[in-house]
Amino acid sequence: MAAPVHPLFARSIGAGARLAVWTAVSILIIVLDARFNSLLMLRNGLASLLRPLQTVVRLPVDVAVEVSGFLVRHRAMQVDNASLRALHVRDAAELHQMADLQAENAQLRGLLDARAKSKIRTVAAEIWTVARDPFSRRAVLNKGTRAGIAPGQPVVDAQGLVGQIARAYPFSSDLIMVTDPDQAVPAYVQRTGRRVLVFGTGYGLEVRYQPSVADIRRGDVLLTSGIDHVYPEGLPLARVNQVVRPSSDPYAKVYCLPIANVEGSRMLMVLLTKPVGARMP
Amino acid sequence: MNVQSSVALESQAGWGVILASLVLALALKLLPWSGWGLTLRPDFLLIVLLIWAQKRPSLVGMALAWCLGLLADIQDGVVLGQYALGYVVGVYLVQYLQRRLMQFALHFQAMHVFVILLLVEVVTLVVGWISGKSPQIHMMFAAAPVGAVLWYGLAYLSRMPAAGKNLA
Repeated sequence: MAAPVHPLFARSIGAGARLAVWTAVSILIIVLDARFNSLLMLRNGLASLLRPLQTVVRLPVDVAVEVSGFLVRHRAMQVDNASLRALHVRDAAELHQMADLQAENAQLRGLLDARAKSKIRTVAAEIWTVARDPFSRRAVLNKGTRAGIAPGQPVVDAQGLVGQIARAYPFSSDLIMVTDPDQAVPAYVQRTGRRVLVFGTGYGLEVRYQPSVADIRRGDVLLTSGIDHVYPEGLPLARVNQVVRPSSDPYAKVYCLPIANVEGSRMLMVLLTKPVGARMP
Repeated sequence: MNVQSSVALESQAGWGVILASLVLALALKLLPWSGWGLTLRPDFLLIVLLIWAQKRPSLVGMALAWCLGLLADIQDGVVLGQYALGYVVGVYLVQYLQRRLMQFALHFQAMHVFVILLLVEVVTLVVGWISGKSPQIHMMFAAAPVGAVLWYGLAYLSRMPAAGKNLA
């Protein structure tokens, strides 16, 4: 079959040659981006190009959410209000208790001469789009370096750890979720204090390298241990869902589900910690 | 049946219509998809691009495909060049097969497009693999059949040149 160039005596290069040229350019840019990470300017430029369109596209969605929120039934709102009031009273009591505990903790830490846990600043961000990438679990957030976000910062929702920032542009940032197959989070079992490494599997989480006799069972809660200096200590990470101890294998297979609503949460919090020096995924 | 010359078959659509449809496709892609919708979501941008590459090959070619591919890379936060290369390969295949495609009825053309969409996914997959990731098999290839159906609808609406039913 002839090449798809229409004039009889074509003066441009043939389709095959053009394919070769564009393939070469693509390979060049892939290598520059993946191996040397040197196309940040181009990335920032293209991301800003997408930004206005993204804003326009979000507009009807946001308006729909606003309108449906406005039209919510009065009765439902009363019920909500009552339960929130009850919750508020209970929380207030607990908060009071926490203030007490905090003071006590500060005293004890002073006695131990330990470094006080610094308060971490946060910024609220919203998920704009979720990437359909067979290689990873990623999403784009609507805040970027202008809001103080930097690569490596942890991202949480109301329940627990969702992931970390992979790249930050001026007005948006890429979030890589804990369920991403390339992610590993150091954690510990709340019940026993046992230190474990939690890996993403794409759809859930998995604890690897635990001997089959390890004391870990269904329902155990895993919290981040903070030894990687990426995630602060004590964030709820996962709940053990299934433990298989195959007789043919010295290691137990421990499957977990994330505690945070990784796939469903739209409003998230980015913890503005100081990024560590290592290169981020 | 006498096949008309492809110059006469080429649509006369101008840049305005083409860019408007591409921006619309990009906007659809930028909507906050999630769950099954995300898994089954066809690549609107690629499909509109393929339609124009077939209908208006003298305007829409590999250069435009490459640039749009870069935008898709940014949108998904993947390595730059992954979708760019995939889109270039897709447009090349459509243009290579263009005259042959027009001799088929529309649903046979859609089957060709289905295979092209699969090939584009394979190309992006291989690129992602080379750039150092391991894929999740269950996410793959669900969008290609949906995309082929969408292509059929769009091609029908945009009066894609095709053979009559008697030829098929």
